Amino acid sequence: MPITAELIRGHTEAIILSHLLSRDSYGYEINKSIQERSAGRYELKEATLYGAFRRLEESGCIQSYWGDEQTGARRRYYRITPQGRQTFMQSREEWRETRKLIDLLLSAGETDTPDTRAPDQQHGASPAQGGYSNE
Amino acid sequence: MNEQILHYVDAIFQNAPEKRRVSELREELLSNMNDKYADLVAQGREPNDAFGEVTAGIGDIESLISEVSEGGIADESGGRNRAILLYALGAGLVIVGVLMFFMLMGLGLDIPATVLSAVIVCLGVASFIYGSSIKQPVPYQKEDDSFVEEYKQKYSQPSRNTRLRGAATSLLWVILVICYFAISIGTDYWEHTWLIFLVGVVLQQVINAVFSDKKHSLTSGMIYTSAVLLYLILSFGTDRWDITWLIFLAAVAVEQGVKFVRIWREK
Repeated sequence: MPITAELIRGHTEAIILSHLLSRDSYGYEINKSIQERSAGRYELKEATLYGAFRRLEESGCIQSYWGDEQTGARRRYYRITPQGRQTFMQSREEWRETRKLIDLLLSAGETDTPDTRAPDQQHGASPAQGGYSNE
Repeated sequence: MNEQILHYVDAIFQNAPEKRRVSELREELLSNMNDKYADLVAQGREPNDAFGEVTAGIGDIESLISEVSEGGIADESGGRNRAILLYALGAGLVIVGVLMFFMLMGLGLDIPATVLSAVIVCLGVASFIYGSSIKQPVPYQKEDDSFVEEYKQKYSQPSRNTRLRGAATSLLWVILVICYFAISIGTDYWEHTWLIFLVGVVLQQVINAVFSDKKHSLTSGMIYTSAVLLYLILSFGTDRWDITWLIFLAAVAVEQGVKFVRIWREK
C-alpha cells in the first residue's frame, strides 16, 4: 500500500484535473470523490491537495474563485482552463503508454508471450473514465 | 463552524506570516475541514472521532505555509541585481566621460575631447536606460480585497510610460550638458549658452506630456513651451532682460489657473 500511494502521488495533479473536467469543485468535494472512486483505498492529505492546487494555478491549468457561502468559511472553488484540459489529455496519454510498457515488462517471466497479453489488457482498461478506475 | 476545528487551525497558523496567500490557505483549509467534519457526523460518526479523523488527514501544512509565503520573490531579484549592475556601469561611464572631456580640453584637443567624451557618456546613458527597462519591481501583494490595497498594488507598479519617461529624461539632460559645454567652448558665448537649459525645460515638458498617463499635463507643457519661446523672442528683440523673466511668473499663474478650472469642472 505505501508503494501504491507513492506511485499515485506522482499523478495527483492529473487526478485533480480529471475531477474538474465536468464541473467546478472545491477541496473537500474533490478529495471525497477520490476516496469514493478508489473505494476508500486512497485519499489525499490536505497539504498535498493544496500544494497541487497551487502548482496547477501557477501553471495556468486551473483558476480559483471564492464561493458566497453565507454561513461559516467560504469555499474556494476551482475551474479547469482550456490549457488544463490539454495538460490532462497529455498526462492521460502518457500514463496509458507507461502502463502498457510496464505491463509488457512485468509479464516477461510469464508463460504466455507479452505480444498476446498486451492487447488484452489494453482492451480491459479502455472504458475507464478519466483513466483512473478501481480495477 | 466547529469551534474545535477553528482553534486547531488557528494554532497551526499562529506563527504564520500575515500575508494574503497565507490567510487564503487558512480559510480554504478551515472550510474543507468543516465540510469533512459535517459529512462524517452526518454519516453517524461520534463528534470526537470525526474531529480526530479530520485532523489526521491534514498532512504537512507547515511546510506548505512557508512555501506559500515565500513564493514569487526569488524569481524577481535576478532582474533587479542586473539592473543595479547596469546603473553602476552607467554612472561610472558618465563620470569617466566627463573627466576625459576636461583632461583632453586641458591638452588643447577640443574636437577629440567632445567626440570621445560624448561617445562614452552616451554609452553610460544607454546602460542606464537598459537597466531601467529590465528592472521589474516586485509587485505589491494585496493583503485583502479592500480598495486601499487595490490602489497600493496599482501604484507600486510603475507603468511602461513612467519607465520610458525616466529613460528619455536622463538621455535629454546628458545631451544638453554635452551641447552646453561643446557650444560654449566652441563659441565662447557663455553669457547666452545657458539658455540651452531653458530649451531643456521645454523639451522635458514635451517628454512628460508624451509619456504621460494623464492628458492634462499636455496643457502645462504647452504653456511653458510658449513662455520660453516668448521670453527668448522678447528678450532678444527688446534687450530688456531685466524684466522679461516676469513672463515665467505669468506662465506659472496661467498654469495654476488652468488647473483650477479643470478641477472645478470635474466637480
